[in-house]
Amino acid sequence: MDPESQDRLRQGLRALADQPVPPGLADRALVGSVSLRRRRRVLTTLSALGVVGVIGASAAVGLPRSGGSPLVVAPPIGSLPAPLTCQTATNEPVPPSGDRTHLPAVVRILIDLLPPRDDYYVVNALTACVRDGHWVYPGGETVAAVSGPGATSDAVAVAYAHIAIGADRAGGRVKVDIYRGFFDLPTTCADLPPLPTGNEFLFCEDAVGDRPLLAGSRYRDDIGVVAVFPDGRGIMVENSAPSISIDLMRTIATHPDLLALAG
Amino acid sequence: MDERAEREFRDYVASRQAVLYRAALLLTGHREDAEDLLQAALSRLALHWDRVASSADAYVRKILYHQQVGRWRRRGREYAVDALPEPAAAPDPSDQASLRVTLAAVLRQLTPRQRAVLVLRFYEDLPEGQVAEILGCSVGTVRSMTSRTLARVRALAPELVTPVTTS
Repeated sequence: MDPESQDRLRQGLRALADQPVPPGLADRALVGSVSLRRRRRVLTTLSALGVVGVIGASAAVGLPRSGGSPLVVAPPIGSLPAPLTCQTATNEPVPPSGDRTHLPAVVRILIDLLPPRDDYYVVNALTACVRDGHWVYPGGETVAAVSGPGATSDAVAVAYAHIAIGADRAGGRVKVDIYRGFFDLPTTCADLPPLPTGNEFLFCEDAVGDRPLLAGSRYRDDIGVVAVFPDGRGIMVENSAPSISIDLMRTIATHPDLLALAG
Repeated sequence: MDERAEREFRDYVASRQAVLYRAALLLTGHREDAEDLLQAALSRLALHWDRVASSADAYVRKILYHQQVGRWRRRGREYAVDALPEPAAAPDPSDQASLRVTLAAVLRQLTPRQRAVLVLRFYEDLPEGQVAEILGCSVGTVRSMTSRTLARVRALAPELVTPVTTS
């Protein structure tokens, strides 16, 4: 391509990109960093209290680590679930009704639990699947489930959904992470470590019988609810804005259909 | 993040948000997706600010480009279609609005990696070595990717290369 054409290309790209910058990027990034930190902190502190190993950062954001396989050794929780379909979705509007089978199971279940709206949007989501005793992530990366409880191991993220709400994300976002592989976790609120500065607990309920340890926390407008079940499964729900009620977040964090995705 | 670090971070975002947002816009082709992409990158930057403040631009760029290429690759959609959806109308590239329309259509037809190369080389005007560092490949690969990308641009929109003369 000759220099004149390259200049035209540059000129065109500049013209195409000449859009106003959205306001509040720094504020939202700071809130986002707290959300990232909280995910890692919740998982790593829970791990530190138990016998599970350090959680990979990529697992904490719901994605498999890059590199060879197996990437993570996770202890089995009873048996692995029935085979699921490996599915991902990125930058897709959620159809208000009708066929949603192309979306990951975690998104389909979550949308049915959220208030009916026609402007939900999948920013990113995945459901790992099960094949030959391994968790398989879209793209072919695998997580072996070979060791027994008490072995040095990591918790693994098996499903993740990040849903934006409303035009221009006016309703904020909902994120759900589903994990398995936690063992010897705290069952009482008294055992939980303190939250980072600026965060506050909204509520905390001890685990009783099959019921999970359930805790909610807030940082500015960002609310997180985490449920850790006695069998080592966990669900974390986050909402920025906030646009859904804490009661609904509790429902999502303990919902049996979502929990079933972790086996 | 302490008060001083937060102030530094805010100053950085204020000074760089325009160029970063516009790069994200070209990468995604969609305002809200660009916002999501940039916000995710800036959130990671904030998380590691103490460690990476001195090379914040390079850090954010790497995240932006890798996330955009990676999320589409995970989805198994890194492909390009052969033709523009509406090839019949050949806009006059001398006109700014037409140029934008043409380029937007061209960008949609490129793979995320091709788009990344185009944005890094011709929007951000980065040298090949820096592009290679950001994309995690060799300079030779950047060179060949650039050449293939330009060839594809040429094939998709010849009017960008050979100006249409009007009487």
